[in-house]
Amino acid sequence: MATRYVHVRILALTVLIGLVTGAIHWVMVHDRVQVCFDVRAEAGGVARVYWDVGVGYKESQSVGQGIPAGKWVSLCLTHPDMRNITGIRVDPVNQPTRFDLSEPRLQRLDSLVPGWGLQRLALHAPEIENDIQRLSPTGTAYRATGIDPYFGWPLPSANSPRWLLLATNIAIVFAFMCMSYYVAALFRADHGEHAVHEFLQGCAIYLLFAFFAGFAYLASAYFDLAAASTIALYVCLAVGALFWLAVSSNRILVRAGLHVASIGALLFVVSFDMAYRIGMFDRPVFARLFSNDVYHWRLTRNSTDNFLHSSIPYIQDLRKIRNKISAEQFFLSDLATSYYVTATLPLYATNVHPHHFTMYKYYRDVLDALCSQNPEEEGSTAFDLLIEKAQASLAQDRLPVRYIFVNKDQYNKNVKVNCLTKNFEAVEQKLRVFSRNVYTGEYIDVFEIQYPHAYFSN
Amino acid sequence: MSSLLKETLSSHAAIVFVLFLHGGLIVALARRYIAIFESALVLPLFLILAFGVSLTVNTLVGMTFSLLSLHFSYLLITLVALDIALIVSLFARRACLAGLWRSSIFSGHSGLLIVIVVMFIIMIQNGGLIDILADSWWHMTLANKIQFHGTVFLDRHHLLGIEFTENDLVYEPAWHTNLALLIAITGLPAPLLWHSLAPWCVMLSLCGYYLFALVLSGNKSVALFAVILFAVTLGGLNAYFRVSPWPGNVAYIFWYFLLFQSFWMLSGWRQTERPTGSILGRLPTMAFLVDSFRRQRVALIILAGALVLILALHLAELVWYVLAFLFYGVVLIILNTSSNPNEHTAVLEHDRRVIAPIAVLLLISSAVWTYIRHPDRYVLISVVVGLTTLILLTRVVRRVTAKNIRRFVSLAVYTLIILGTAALIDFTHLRELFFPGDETLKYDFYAYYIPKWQIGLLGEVTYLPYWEHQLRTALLFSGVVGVVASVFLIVRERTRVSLFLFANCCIPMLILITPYLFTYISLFFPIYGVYRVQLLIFHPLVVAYVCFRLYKDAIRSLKPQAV
Repeated sequence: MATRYVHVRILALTVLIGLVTGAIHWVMVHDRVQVCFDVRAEAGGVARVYWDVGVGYKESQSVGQGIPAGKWVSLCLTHPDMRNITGIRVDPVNQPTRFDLSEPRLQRLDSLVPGWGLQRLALHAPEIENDIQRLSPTGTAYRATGIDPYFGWPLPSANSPRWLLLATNIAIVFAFMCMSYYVAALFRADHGEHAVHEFLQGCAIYLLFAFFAGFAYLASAYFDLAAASTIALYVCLAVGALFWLAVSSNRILVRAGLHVASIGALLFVVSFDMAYRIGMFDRPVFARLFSNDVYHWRLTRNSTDNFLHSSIPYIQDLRKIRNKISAEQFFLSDLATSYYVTATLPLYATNVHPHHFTMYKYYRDVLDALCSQNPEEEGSTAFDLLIEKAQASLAQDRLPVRYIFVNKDQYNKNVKVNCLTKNFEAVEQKLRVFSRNVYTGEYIDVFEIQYPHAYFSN
Repeated sequence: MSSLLKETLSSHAAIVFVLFLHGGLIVALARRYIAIFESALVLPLFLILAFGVSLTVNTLVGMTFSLLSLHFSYLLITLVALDIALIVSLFARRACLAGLWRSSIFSGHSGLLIVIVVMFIIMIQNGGLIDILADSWWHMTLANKIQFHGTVFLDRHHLLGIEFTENDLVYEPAWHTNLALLIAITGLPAPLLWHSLAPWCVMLSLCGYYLFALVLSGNKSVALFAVILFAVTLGGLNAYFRVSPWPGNVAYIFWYFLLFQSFWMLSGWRQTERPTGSILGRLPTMAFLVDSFRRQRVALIILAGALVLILALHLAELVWYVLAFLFYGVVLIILNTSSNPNEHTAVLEHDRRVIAPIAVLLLISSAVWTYIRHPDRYVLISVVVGLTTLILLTRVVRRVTAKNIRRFVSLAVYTLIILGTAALIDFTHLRELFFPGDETLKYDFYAYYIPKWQIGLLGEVTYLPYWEHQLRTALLFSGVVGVVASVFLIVRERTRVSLFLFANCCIPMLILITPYLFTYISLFFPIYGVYRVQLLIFHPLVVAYVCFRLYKDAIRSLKPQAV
C-alpha cells in the first residue's frame, strides 16, 4: 500500500482517538468547580464551603473538612455542577478562635490547561461577612467572634466559554498524539503496512484512559473526579508516547509493553489505598466523602494521639482510686469512662452501649438529672432517682450504684462530648449534696453516694 | 525515662515472655519432628508456632488454675518454672540447639524480615488502641475481670455485673485468658498491654499471610508482594492493623496458617504413593487422612492443634477456613480441569479427589441442618435445586466425548449457567456498591438490604447485606480489581492457585449480590456486618499473582529478541 494512504489512515485514527478521549474527559469533568484556600486556626475545627444553588446556603449543599489546631492546611472543595450556583460561602472555622486565611481561588476543572479559568475571591470585599474581626492590615489574620464565621461572594461570571474549553481539550489530546506518533516515526525507516498495525496496538495504551476514566467515574461519589481524570489522561498520553517511541524501533516490545501497562493499571487503582495508609490522604480515597475512617493504621499516626483518646492518661488516677474504693461495686459515669474504668478496676458499669447483646441504659435519667441546667434542683432529683433505683436493685438482690465517676478531661474526644464532663463543676456541686468526694485527681473525681439507709455493711 | 515509657517497654517484654518464650522453646525442642522446617519456611513458621504453642499452654494453664481455684498470682512462678525446665531440656539435647543455629532462621526471608520490621516499628507508633469507643474495651473488660477473679469461669457478666442470661454472649476464652495472664503477671493496666500487642499481632498476621501465599503460589516474590499489598490495601479486617489485638483478628493468624498447612499437606500427599484398587483408593478423602496420619503425623497434629486453637479463640475463622475449601471444592466440581492436560492437571485432579467429596458432604449436611432448623425452607430448596442443576449440567459437558459436539454443548451449557446466574443477581444492589443511594444511610450498618424481589415465587423471603460499614471500602477499588483479576486468572490458566483464588473472590462476591445465596448462607451461619469483609481477604494475593503472571509474560515475549 502506498505510504501516503498509510499516513491518511493513521491521521484519521489519530483524530478519532483524540476526539473520543477528549470527549470522555469532557463528559466526566464539565461544569465541575473547585474552591481552594489555605487556613490555619488556633483551636482547629471544621472548614466548610457552601454553594448557593438558588435556595440560599444550606447544609446539604456544602462540603467540609476537619482542620487540626495551629497547622496550615490546604483545602480544595469541589462542586459537581456550577451551572446552578449563584453564590459561594467560605466558613474557615466553626468556633470562636483566631485564624489565618489565604485568598480563596475559584477554579473551573474542565480544562486540561492548568490554571485556565482561575478566579480569586477577594477577602477584602466579600458580599456578606459574619462573626469576623480583622486583625491585620494585610488581611490574612482574623478572629472568629462567634461560632459561625464566614465570607460570601456571588459566583463570578465565567471568563471562558464552554465550547472553547472543550475545543482546547480535544486539541491538546490530538496534538499530543500527533506529536508523539510523528516523533516515533522519525526513528522508523519503514512506513509500510505494519505501521498501521503497530499504531493500533499502541492505541491500546491510550485506551487505558477509558479504564482509568471508568474507575474515576465509578469513584466520583468519593473523590475529586476531575483531578483523577486529568491525571489519568496525562499519564496515559505520556505512557502512550513512550510506548510508540519504543515500538518504532522494536516491534517485540509491543506485547511486553501491553503486559507492563496492564500491571501499571492494576497498581494504579491499588495505589489509592496505599496512599491513604502512608498518610498522603487523611481519609480513604474511596470512602464516603468527608467521613473520617479512624480504624486504619497510618504512617504518620503516633502513639500520643491514641493515648490521649483512651484511658492511658488516667492510669495514675485509676491506680490511686483502686485503693479508695471497694471492689465488685457498681458505678455510674459517662459512656467512655464507664469502659475505661471497667477495663482497669474491679467495678461494674451501669452505662454501656449496645454491643455483644449488652445494653444497659437504666440510669440514663439520673445522668440527665445531673446534667440538668435547672439551678433549683441542686441534685435532689438525681438523688431521688438514685434512691428509687437502689430500692429496685435491692429488691432484685442486686447492689445499687455506689460510686459516681466524673471525668474532667476536656481533650479526649470520647469524653469531652458528654454532659458530665462539659459541666463538671456544676455536676460536682450537685453531687456534693448527696455524696462524699472520695478522690479528686488530675482527670477523674470519684463520689460515693451517701444513701439515707445503710445499704452497704462494709 | 518517663514512667509511661518504662511501662510500655515492660509490656513488650511481658508479651515476649508470656506469648512467645515457652512456645518458642517447645518448638525448638520439637523442631526435628517438624518436617516443614526442612524447607525454607523457618522464620515465619517458627514465630507462628511459638505464638500458637504459647497461647495453647497459657490457656491450658489458666483453665487448670481456674478449675483448681488457684489464683492467677501464682502464674508467674509456674511459667518461670516451665521456661527453666524447657531451657534445661534444650541444653540437655544439644543437637536441637545446634540444629537451630545451623538452620539460620533469618536466612531466605530477608524481604519478609524487612517488611515485618518496618510494620512492627510503624505499629509500635500506631498501637492497638483506637480513638473511638469500639469492641476493644469490651474485650479488655472481660480480661480484667478474669484476672481479678482469678478464674476463666465468671459467674457474672464482666461488664454489667449481673447474672448471665441466655441472650448473653459467652466468648471463646483463649485470648482473654492470655490477656488476663499478661495483666496478672505485669500488673499493668489492660489498655496499655492492648496497645503494645498490636505490633506483635501484625507481625504474626504478615507471617501467616506470607506462608499461605508462598505455599499456594510457590513463589517467594509473589508471597512478599502479596504481604506488602495486604498491608497497604483493604484486604479485609486484618488490613486494619490497629484492631489486630481483637480476638477475631488473632484467630486470623491461625486461619492463614491452617490454609498454609492444608496446602502443604495436600502437596506432600500428592507426592506419596497411594494404594490403588483398594477401598482407600476409592475414598480419596479418607485415603488422604489415613496417609497423612501415617506419613505426616506431626503435620496432622499441628493442623488439628491449630483447628482447636481457633475454636478457642474465635469460632468464625474456623467457618471461613471451611468455606474457603468449600468454594474451592465447588469450583473444582463445576469447572472442567482436564480438557487440556498439562502439569497442573494432576494437581487439580488430586485436589478434586480430596476436596470435592468434603464439599459435597458439607453442602448436603448444611442443607439437612438448615431444613431441620429453619422454617423458611423454600430458599433452601431453591438453592439446592439450583446447585444440583449446575453440577449436573457441568457433568453433561464432561460426558460428551465427540470433540465437535462437545464444543457446542460446552458453549450452550456455560451460556445457560452464566445467564441463569445473571438472572439471580440483584443488579440494583450491585449498582449501589458504586453509587450509594441515600436510603442506605437511613438504616443501621448491621441491617439487611431488601432486594428487589424480597418475596420469591414460592413465597420465600430473601435479603442482602448493606455495603456500608467496611464492605464498600474493602471493595472500592482494590477488592473490585481483585475480583476482576481473579476472572482474568481463571480464563488464562487452570491451576491450583488460579482456581482457589477465583473461587474465593468470585463466589463470595456472588453471595453478596445474589439474594438466594446470601439468604441461604445466613440461614446456617447468621453472621453479618463486618465479618463479611473476611470473605474478601484474598484480593492482595490475587493482584500480586496476576502482576507476577503479567510480568512473566512480558519477559517471555522479550526472549525471542534475546535469542
